[in-house]
Amino acid sequence: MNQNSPDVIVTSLRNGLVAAADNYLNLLIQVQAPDAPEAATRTHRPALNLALVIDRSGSMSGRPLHEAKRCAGFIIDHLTPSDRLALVIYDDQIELLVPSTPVVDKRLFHSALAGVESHGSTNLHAGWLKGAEEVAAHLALAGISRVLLLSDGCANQGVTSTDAIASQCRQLAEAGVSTSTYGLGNSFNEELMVAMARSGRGNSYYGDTAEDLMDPFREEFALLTSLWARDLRLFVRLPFSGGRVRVLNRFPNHPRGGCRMPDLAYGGEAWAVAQIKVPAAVTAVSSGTLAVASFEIEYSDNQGERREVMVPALYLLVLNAKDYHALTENELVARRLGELQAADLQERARDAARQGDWAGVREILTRVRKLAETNRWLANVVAELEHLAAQEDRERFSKETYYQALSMRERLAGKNEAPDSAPASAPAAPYLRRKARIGKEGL
Amino acid sequence: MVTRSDESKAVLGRHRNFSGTAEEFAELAAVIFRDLGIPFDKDNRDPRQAINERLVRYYVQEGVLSPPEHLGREAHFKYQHLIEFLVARSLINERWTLAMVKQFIEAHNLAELEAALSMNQAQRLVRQFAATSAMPMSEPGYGASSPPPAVAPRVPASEATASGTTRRREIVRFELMPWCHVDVDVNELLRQGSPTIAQRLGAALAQQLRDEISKRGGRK
Repeated sequence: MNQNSPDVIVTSLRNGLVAAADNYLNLLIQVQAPDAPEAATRTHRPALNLALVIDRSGSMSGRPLHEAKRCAGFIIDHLTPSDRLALVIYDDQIELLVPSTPVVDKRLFHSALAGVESHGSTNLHAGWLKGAEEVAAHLALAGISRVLLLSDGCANQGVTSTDAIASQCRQLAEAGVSTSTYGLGNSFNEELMVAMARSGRGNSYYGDTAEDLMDPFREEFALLTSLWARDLRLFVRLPFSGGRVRVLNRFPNHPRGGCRMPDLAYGGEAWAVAQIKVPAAVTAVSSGTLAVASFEIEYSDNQGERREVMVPALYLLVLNAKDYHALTENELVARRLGELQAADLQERARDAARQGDWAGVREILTRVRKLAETNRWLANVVAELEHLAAQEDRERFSKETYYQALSMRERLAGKNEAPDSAPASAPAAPYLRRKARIGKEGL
Repeated sequence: MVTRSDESKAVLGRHRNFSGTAEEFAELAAVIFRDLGIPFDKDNRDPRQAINERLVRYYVQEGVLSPPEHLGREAHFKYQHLIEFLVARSLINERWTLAMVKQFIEAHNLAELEAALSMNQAQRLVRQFAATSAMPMSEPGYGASSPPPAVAPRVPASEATASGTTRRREIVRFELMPWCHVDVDVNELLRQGSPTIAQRLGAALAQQLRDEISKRGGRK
């Protein structure tokens, strides 16, 4: 692989389709970034233009605020003079602690943080917008401009509507300012925080307790400093009429066509499972092989240049039903498909938990466990969920399933990822880890 | 060093005293687009072909440009309209709808619109979101600075009563925009207590503002 374009691999669950019948094909599309060149990891990365927006409302008092400040300190310590940082704190008032400034004198940021104390309610929108204002003033095509928003509560002052705030995050992301969110504890609104990050083309994380907050900050920082391609778009084109494409990862549609895949970092793989309906009329007139789909990937490189990769059509054998069922399933495609099904089931378990139906939750988790028979990571996830379900803690279960389902659909995979997530096969980059418990450090 | 923004200011500054008909306005706008090297639209159409009297009147009709002054039957446009036109075109090129453009232009005064001309798309969006949520922003042109508090401290005031004594009133001041404050008598607010009072106050404020603008010859 060269350093300028990704490898794109398309694999079908089965290497064929049934003649004269409606077929629903599951295709895995893997978009793989090159490995990080040694020199690049140390000296060359896009400049970061960040705003750290920290909730200091009354509920953050004590350990949460202390940990939030420690995480902010981690970000400060890892930035370089070519990066910019603004510090914003908010409760019902917004305070710009440090305007967007090159990170030359780190003491300036540390001392500004040291005096922060907690009080007031949560004007989350205004805090976020203040951070966006600071970042927007210093946009650069080649750099990464992002607001990192941390909150342990619900937006209860100013603009509070999830749809309205997410729409603003989307518009600003299109204009070059992305948003990542960090929820803390059990009282924050996970639907708002995830919607902001998804619309804002950033990442969403949460920490179960203050002690679990550093892990996601480390993960995002590693991702930000290793990004290889941004604003990835996948187009699937069918060479026949009457067909249909459904991307099972439920990626958001891009405003200018196609669906938007996660940003891609060195050594990582963005992937999608596309389900394609091939109507009987098409397979009835075909013999031998049939072109089922072609693909196009668009992305922005680290210099902000728009690039595209055309992937030739995938051909599959047209077979009779007996020969088709004799085909073996591709193990990797089956595993990713299983993870997407597990994500759907987790959402249903979350709905059941929110209605207090814990028997229903346990029944759904039994189905997830069946999917996990050949997937050790999934088995570890379901064990954690069963443990949480046993506690019947609605908020905690709700948050874990919400974030875990999202992670299963949108995570970056390691290239040549092993079927299990045992420590021996764990990838080095924090953003490629498969966590058994999203909200917990080290799990 | 002369920056692009300094150049724009110099070019625009030469027309600060402009006053002309729709036709003259269209001609001047086309010249400014050419002098500043700003693309009129995504297709890079020639501004002299694209900007005409009809387009100017259409923008007035849609509320994107504020109503021109009328001298007899002739409409006269000024420097303010020129700035509004330039801001409007840059927003339209960023795929804003005419309704959004109108809202943005109405929410900002001339100095703010001039500052908006040197902003990028993200900065303009932030301003738009802040204006619709009544959030105070940093002053344009002064870089980042701590904004004034959204709600000022409660101000005690006193009031004469029929008996000739005075009683203290507790007043809370809401800063709706940096240039618009509303003082509310807290006791009276609590006494009224009805959930519809906020809507009634909002409607009354909107009417007062419309009347004031109209009285001063602006648009409603």
